[in-house]
Amino acid sequence: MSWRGGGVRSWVVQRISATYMALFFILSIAFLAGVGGLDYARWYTLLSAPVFNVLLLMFFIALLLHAWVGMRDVILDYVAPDGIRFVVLSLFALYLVAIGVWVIRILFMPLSLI
Amino acid sequence: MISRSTRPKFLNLLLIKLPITGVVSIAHRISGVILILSLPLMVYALQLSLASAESFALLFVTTETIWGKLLTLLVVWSLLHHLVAGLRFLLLDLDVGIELASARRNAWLVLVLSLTGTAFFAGAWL
Repeated sequence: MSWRGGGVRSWVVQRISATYMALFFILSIAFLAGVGGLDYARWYTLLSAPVFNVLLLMFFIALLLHAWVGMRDVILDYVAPDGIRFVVLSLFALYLVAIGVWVIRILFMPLSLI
Repeated sequence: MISRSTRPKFLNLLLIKLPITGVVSIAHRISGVILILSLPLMVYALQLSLASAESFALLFVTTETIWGKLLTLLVVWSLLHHLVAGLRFLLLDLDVGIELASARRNAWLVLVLSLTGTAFFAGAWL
């Protein structure tokens, strides 16, 4: 079985990203529930903490990889003609890259520039 | 040759009777697409939540409107279903609950969990 050709790599990426997102999401919700009474100051301080900041960026990287593999399957299932398929896949890739750049801006820009 | 009108039509979505495992599968796909489409809104919400105390508060005001509530519930259901159904698929990959009878049972469990979870969220927050 080839690593790249048969889709094994995508299969692995999908499962690793899913596991990371599931763990991060469940633990974050549990943590936030434990903190309780979340106001702006506490939320901002929490997300500015380097650990959480980096873990959250990793969450979004996992999300974008996961969205690409998943939506690529959906597009390949429903959009058959080669030309339209290429255009739709390209537009979707641009969509995900734009989301990624936006998230980096939000997480790492100084507050005044958000 | 069969005439056009009597030709069997296999792709009539209303005539396909999906088994419960199939329902969970297609719902996993639909919820995934909904989550992807909601990404700009979610990222914008993250931005508002961090930009200032005022925009943080505005976020909660927005979810109080009827469209805000419906959208929130749609996203919450999509998130819950995609998460729980995804965990089920991961377990199936590990041969856990793969037998037909148990696969049907845990498919029902996924549907019930995500729907009751959404209902619980609705009761607690909206």
